[in-house]
Amino acid sequence: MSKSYDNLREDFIFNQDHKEYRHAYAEESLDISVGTQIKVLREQRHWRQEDLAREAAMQQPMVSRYENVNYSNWSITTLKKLARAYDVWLDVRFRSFGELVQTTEEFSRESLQVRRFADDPFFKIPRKVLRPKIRATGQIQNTGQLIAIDTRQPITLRNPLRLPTGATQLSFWDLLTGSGAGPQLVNSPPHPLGSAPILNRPMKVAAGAGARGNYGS
Amino acid sequence: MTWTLYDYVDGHGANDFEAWSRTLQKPELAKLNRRLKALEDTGPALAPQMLAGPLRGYPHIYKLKMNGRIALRPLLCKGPINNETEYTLLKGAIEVGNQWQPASAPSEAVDRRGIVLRDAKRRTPHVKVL
Repeated sequence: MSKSYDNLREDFIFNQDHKEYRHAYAEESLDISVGTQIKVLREQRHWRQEDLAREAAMQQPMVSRYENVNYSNWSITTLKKLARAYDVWLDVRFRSFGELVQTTEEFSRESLQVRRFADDPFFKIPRKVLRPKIRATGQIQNTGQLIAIDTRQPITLRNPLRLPTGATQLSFWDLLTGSGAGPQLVNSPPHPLGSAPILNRPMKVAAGAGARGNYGS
Repeated sequence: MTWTLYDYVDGHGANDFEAWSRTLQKPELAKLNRRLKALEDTGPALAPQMLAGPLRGYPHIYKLKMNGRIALRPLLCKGPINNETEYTLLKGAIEVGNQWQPASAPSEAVDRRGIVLRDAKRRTPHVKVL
């Protein structure tokens, strides 16, 4: 723990009977933090105030006002607009004073910078982890049509694969068994078979067998 | 990079800024301490518009702006011994309706900066009041 960290902790302990001290300190910290972070995020993106104003659909003088540690009348609605402009999420939480000491000690340009979604490493899939694209093929038993689905997840087709009575197209889920879909497919909305390629060439899986998808090109 | 804060002291070694700080109520004191910590930790570059100045007609003098029930406006200067790493708190003041209280605060701050510039012993490491 740094000397400064201990000092600030001791300041709060010294003033523990003065609730108004810690709350005024916290409110001042909030003003400093919000005004500074709005500016830091803009500079991180190499934007001028005019650029942020355009992205957030507001006037440039308003941006200038928000980038001022002496301003404290921003609303959650405004901050959400700015979050959207920066492509980050806004976190509004009630927190303990212990965390205030820690946050105050960590206050720096680096601690305030936030990557936009497109630059967030959490959502970057390393190439070595990326599964190769696979093609699952099968034949619809009662129409004889051959189908193929390109996917990066192993899937298992229903066996037998049938067009429901009265239906003219299959949904994506009509094609799959309950256990074969990969996790990213679970939340995929059904979509018409029309968007999946229909093969007019010999299939790799025996007709009617459905079975495991073939791993092809 | 951290900055070092100093308080001006008079010819008898009395710390006028510390004495002014002791007159403040707890909320104002908390605001002052938070602003001074930000100044100490990050200097003038990070927190936008925390320091206002130099004040027109009072060269090298800045005011630290704090809003609230009382508009605290402590007056300070960079350095003046080392302008890249230090601030010296010269005079405690407030603003009421764009008027300084005390009225002489900015000119006193100019005088005090000159005194410290001539004699570096006329300042002491900042005393935080709790």
